[in-house]
Amino acid sequence: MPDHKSRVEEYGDDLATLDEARRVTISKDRLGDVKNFWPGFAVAAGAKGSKKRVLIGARPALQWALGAAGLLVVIGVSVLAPKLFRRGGPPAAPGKAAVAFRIDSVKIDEEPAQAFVFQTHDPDSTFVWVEKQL
Amino acid sequence: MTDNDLVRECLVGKMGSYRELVDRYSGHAMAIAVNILANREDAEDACQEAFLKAYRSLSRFDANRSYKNWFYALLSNHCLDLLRKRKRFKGFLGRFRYEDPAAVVAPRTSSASFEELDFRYLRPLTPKERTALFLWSQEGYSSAEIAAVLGCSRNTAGVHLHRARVKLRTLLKEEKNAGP
Repeated sequence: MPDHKSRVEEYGDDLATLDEARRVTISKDRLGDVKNFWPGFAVAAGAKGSKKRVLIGARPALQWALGAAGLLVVIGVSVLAPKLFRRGGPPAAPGKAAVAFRIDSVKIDEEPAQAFVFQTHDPDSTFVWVEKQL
Repeated sequence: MTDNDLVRECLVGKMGSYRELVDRYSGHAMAIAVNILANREDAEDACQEAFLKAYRSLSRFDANRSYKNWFYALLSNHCLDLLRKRKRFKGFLGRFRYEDPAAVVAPRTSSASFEELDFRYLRPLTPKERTALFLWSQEGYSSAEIAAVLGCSRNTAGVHLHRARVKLRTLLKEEKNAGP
């Protein structure tokens, strides 16, 4: 049976060293120039900052209500959308020219929202999934 | 001036103090977010949102704690939340009859600097393993400090870090065995 030292060495052999971990993770220095976040922050905080803080601190029930309403919409869409989708025909033939689609920003309740754009194989269909940032 | 001094000034309305905090942590924040999300542009969005979220939550910050750890926790939670939303979104799309479930969200345009970053060793790790590995190797965090950021027990943080190191060693060994 191996003694404790040899067992520890054996065990350590299966673990990446600190140097190896440093080499594969992305350090601050490897990022080069980092975006200046202040202008974007100043615009968002200046527009809504103080109002939002009061809203979060004093009216948690309203926050929950808004969150629950958003969730109901998402559930409703996820239940109904597949049924509606089945009524349509098969996807359009490949090779058809796609329609140009662009979104600059999405807001819910005048607040920037999280948006995901999904381009399907049907060039005439694009899904936009929007979630409120809680 | 310490981070907590700046926070105190922010709470009495000095926006310039928060600017100092944003400047102080922009690089660190980007590094954490890039390691978790493995995408530079998503990381920029996440940091932008996290700085706003942190500002709005400053009144709940405990001045006896480290601002750095508090902000890192908020940022990493935000990044993990983004990944969960993305997964949920893909799951939702998979329910469509005529849609290819393996289809992915349209990739975003990458900047030149993003192309230079190598994520091949990070992608096989889970987001929490990536976070633990980054905090340990780049920030010198202990298991207890990683636990504070991830919001889990010290043992669980140790498990995340251990698994990350095992996976990384396996990947490095495989690469070595494959040869040049």
